[in-house]
Amino acid sequence: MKRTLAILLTLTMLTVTACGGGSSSPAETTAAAGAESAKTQSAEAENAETQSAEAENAETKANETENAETAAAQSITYPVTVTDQIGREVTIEKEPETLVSGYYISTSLLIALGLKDRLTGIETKAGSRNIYHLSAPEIIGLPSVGTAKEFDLEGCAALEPDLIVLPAKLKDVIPSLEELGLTVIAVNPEDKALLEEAVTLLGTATNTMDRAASLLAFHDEQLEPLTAALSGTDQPTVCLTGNSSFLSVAGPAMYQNSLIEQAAGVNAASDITEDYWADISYEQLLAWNPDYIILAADAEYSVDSVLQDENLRGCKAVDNGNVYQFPNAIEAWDSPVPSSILGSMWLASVLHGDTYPEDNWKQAAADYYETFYSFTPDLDNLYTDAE
Amino acid sequence: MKMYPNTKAAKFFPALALLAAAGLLSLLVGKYPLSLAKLLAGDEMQTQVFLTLRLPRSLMAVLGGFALGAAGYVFQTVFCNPLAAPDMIGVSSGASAGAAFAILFLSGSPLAVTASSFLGGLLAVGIALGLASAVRGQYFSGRGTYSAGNGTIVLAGIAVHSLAQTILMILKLTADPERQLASIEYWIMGSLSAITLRQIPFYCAVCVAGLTGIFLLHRQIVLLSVEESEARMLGVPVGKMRLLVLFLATLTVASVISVTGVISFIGLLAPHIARLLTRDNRLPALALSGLMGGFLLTLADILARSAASAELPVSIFTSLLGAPFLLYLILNGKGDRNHDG
Amino acid sequence: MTADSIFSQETVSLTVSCISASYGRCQVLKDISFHAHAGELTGLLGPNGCGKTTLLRALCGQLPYSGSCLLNGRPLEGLSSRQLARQISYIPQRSGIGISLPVMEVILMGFNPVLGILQQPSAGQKALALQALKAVGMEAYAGQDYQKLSEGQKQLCILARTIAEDSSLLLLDEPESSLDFPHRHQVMRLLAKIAGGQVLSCTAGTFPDSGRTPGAGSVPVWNDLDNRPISPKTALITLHDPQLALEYCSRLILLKDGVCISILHPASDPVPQMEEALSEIYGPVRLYTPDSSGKNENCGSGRSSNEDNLSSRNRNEDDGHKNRRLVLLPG
Repeated sequence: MKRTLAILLTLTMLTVTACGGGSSSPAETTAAAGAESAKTQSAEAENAETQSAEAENAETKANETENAETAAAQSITYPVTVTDQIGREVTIEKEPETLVSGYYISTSLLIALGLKDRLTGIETKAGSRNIYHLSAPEIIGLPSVGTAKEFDLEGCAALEPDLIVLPAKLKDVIPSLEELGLTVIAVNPEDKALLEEAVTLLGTATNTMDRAASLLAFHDEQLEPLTAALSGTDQPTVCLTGNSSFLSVAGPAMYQNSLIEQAAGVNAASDITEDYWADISYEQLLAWNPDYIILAADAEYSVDSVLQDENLRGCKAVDNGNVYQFPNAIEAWDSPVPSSILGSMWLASVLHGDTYPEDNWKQAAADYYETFYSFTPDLDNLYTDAE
Repeated sequence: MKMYPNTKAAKFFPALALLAAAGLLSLLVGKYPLSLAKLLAGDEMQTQVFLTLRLPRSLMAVLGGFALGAAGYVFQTVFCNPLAAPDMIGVSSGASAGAAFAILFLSGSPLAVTASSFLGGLLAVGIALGLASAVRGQYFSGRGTYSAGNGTIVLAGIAVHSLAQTILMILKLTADPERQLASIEYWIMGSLSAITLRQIPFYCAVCVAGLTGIFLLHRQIVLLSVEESEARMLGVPVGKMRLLVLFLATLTVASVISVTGVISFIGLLAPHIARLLTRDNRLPALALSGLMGGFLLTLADILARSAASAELPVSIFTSLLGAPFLLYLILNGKGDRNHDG
Repeated sequence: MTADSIFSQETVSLTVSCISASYGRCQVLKDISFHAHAGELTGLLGPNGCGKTTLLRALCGQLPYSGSCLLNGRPLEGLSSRQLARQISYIPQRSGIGISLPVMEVILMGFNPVLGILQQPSAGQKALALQALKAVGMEAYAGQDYQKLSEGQKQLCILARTIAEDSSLLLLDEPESSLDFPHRHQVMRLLAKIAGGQVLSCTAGTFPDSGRTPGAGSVPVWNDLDNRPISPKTALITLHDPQLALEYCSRLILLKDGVCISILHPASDPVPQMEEALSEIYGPVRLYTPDSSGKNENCGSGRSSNEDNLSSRNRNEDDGHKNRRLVLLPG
């Protein structure tokens, strides 16, 4: 019997370990390697872009990229060697004519860089991305090369593209693709600094540095007037809730925290130490008693479900009807996309409608999508019909 | 008569006291600053938090842990297997698949998810037990009908369990990775953080009903551990009784995990701890399994809600607390064997 | 006839007529018929696979059969499993109790057929169970873990449970096979006493034996707590060891390939006839009848007269021996 119990205990311990692993897996699926940099990144680092040690590090590594950036307007001479976001040196022999992207953020970036016509294959479930429907409906029917979990190696090779862009999560398939003589760069745009790096990397690789530079400039152009307009206002407390439940919130270490700060709000979940969506209880939410509850763009639940939850009675945000959701009809502005400054601007108009009217972000959004995605956004219908 | 040493009671009451203490402590610990003075003064917000959130959560921890422990005892006894657990015949995977189904295709509201996972768990067990009794068993019963042997039930359970896992996998594949998948994973991890007053009355009632049945049938449960033909000659309607007892046990488990999500180890650890303390398998062991289960889950939940700034999955603590305790009991030589095997 | 001589009346209690049974298409029992008497042990002998265990399982109602089986004049076939459980005690080779339980709890299981599903054993039943434990000399173990007992002690406990059950038919499937030598004889002696109703004999002394001071295993005094009628039991027992069967059984049913090939009465049948019948099963064997006082009789030569046999029985009754001594050896 003792032996049986010993085995039992071993099993228990193993399962504990497995559980520990399991609990961090959702973090891996979305935050992945970017989690580390998200931690070090603060709002100041974002404003003063290249000051963080990490960004510097990245620059020295990617000296070719650096050169390209300083000579932004210049065109690239091939062959060009770039350092991708998992630290590989990749030489691109000629300007790529055909592209495959295995990740929605890189696909979206390639569209923004005006390269949608060169795409010959993209990730699966492209049909669920509103931005594709609006800006490049023709790419939705392109051959799919799989997801970050299940990559279709053969399907990708069969397309024989000049350049393949993959998320860092798929780094294991890169050697196989290279053996087939294909050129691959990996991107890892998990936070703002990494996103900017990815934009520069793609601009260099595809000889679209002009557009890449203006895409990068958009953020700063908008941030300055936003900060100016909001200086000196009262800062309401905001709870930013996640996709799966309003009992999962963004702590200060998360990318989303910067949105709140840029919009002159205070994150109610400031004592959360996790760098991913943190699960909380009703009691915690009531104890924080935030002025606003803001739902993630892709939230599974509705604003009404929060307003009608009788367990939240007594919470200021619910009692005053101050529950809103990030617009999701175009893009999720609360995720690290080049347009994420629009998220801050939208939030600012929610929190400080009197000093920062919503025309501000509507104008900027219209400009942005017309410039980079060649369509006029319908800014009166901000939400898809999801529940 | 000296054959029942009074140590059973001597262990029963401390366990009851421990559980009561843990239950009280769990009423005091939480993220919302409740104070007794304000509560008694009738502060509306304090009363609301206490009655609709704090109390239901503590109640669910005590009752849920009790149910998981007792059900674990039933499974280990009926299957005569120290590694048996309620998950064995598919209740957890069925409930998980049910929850995933609700997240994907129903409204995804807590009430819908709970109901769907409850039905999923029962459906899985129903299919497993139905299959087992349909399959020609090893023995004939008195009237020439067949009864489902333990082996058949376990096999059917494994089949249903894998089937439910497959369905769960397919559901996860179809799920949107950024929203629904996270919800499914979150549900499966198990937590008592989202329990509210509104959710639990029905499931608590079902749970109590199942537990009542288990306690009333405790003598038959012990008899079911006896080899089948011998048990039959002791007048136990083995086939029917086993189905009934297993159904009652899974009913209680399904009613708990449909509210809390999958909670591991309590069903496995609590009966072992109880047997090591009582050194036998009768009513005291059943009661103590329940008490230990309730104690473990309540304590684990207290830690889950207070150890970090965010809520942690309760299963981490059930095993962190339970495993060392079990190890301590084994190393202390409190009991040499509780199962022949 | 042994049984007749004790009770001075015909006590046929189990009549098995023309029982046939099969597993699927394979017929395992073919037209088996025999009588068994209350108060004595009826042995089932035969090579492995001859259908001994199948016969027991059929009688238990665990295997459908054709033919009929009367217990005390009432057919067993129509009975529900619960009614069967009240009539029959089944004792397996080794008990299938797989979890730790106090010995007392194992004995109390014997009352399950007469208890409601939700009912608990009464105080009276607990007292009876303790008496039964005393009867097998295991009362000191009442509170101990059944799993920690030796195989022999376990078997004694199961016999105590059988005493507590007090059902009229005992079916035993090689109860001796997992026991060591002394326990085998202890268990067989006890069985003979249980079958004879002697364990239940009350202080009033219904049977002449009960007043005697016994030799080896003390015959306990049953306090007749619930005024149950004291009845001899019919015991059908499959045995691995023919020597034990010759020693303790009053009647031997010899089975081969599912057919009953002969019925022996070790106390009275001529030795050559028994030799012949046993050789059909075990190959060539020889039977000796050593004199109980130590001097050997030659094989086949001595046919004990009925008188000799009776005196021998009386002499050995206390330790359960009912028969003249017979020694079986390979021929």
